[in-house]
Amino acid sequence: MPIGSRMENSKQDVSADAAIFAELYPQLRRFAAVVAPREVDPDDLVQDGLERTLRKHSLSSLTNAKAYLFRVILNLASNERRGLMRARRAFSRLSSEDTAEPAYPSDLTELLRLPSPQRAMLYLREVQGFTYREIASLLGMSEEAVAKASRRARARLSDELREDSI
Amino acid sequence: MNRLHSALEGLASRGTPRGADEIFSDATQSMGSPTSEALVRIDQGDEIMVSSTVSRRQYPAWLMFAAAFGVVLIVGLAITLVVRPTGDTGRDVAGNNTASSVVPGPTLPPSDNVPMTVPAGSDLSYYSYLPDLHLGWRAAEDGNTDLCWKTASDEGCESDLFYAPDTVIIPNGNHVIVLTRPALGGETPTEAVVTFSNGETANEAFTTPSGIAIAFARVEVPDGVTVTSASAN
Repeated sequence: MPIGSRMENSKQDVSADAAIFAELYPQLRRFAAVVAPREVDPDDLVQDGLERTLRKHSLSSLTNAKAYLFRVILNLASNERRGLMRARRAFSRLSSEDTAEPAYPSDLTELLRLPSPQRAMLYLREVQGFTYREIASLLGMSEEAVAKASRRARARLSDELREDSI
Repeated sequence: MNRLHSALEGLASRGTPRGADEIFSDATQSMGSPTSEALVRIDQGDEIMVSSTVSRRQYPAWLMFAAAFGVVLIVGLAITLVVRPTGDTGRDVAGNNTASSVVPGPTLPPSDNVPMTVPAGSDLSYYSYLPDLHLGWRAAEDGNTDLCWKTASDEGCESDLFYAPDTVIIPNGNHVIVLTRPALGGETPTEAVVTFSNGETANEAFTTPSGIAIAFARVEVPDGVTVTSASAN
């Protein structure tokens, strides 16, 4: 294929991808805000996920771009969280109690203690209203694994927070 | 809406979105996509993609923590050596080293210092936020959470969704205490802007006590006027 046609095709792909991304962005951004560690900007996570996806596929070539991006974002969030936990442990050994990061003593703090996949499932179930089957399909897991992880997440939340949610 | 739903919703809407266009553009530029128009032809129609670097606001975690540790050390030393009063002009805030140790209002007896959200209708468990201001959290009937406050002369409750620029205004004698929460993922507010009933405004810097993500500013209220609004910048 001549270079001119290939560049034209690439530009068309990019335009189509931009349109797909613009449509998905509000959902991706909210999902990233839920699963990202507090220190990570949700938009950075979305950008990272998009970048990694585009390196392998155009969004228009994916059968379910939304599910693909959700999974990439969730994996990135889990990786970030693991890295930050290692750093926090190292930092806590160096610092005194007084230097702990200020926290807001409320429900968000409870939620932020949960691992990213558990937060993702609670969000998709409670806010988005998805069934376990739909969540499983979206995140590429078995329905049973989703149900189990959701139960575990609820069990980890304080009594006050989950009392009227179950 | 239950409390879990409300908390998840709060998490999902944290920070200020940069927008789809900007993120897509940054992503494609940083990976050297054809949109950067940086396709370079070599030899027989082959092409390589030349990436143009777009910096992301991300630094190694160890570097961020090392920097934060340094800042905390410097600030701690500064507070110890400069700000902390030498005389008995005030009282520490239940272990919180606030820059504003001098207490203008009547103080309250120290509380349990156990911040927790109690169920709707239950008695509050207060947290000694300042010597003259205690805070507590209670589930509201609608499933959200209320921030409740108590001074020596007054008490009240408001929604705890007072992320900057929103504030909570607490009357306390001849001044008001303005509270705000730094928006998650957003910038920490630095200044309270209070508007009085006569149309005049007053600005005061926020202070954030260590250990809790709520900033406060004390603003004097001139005689004969009331505070009509306050925002956090």
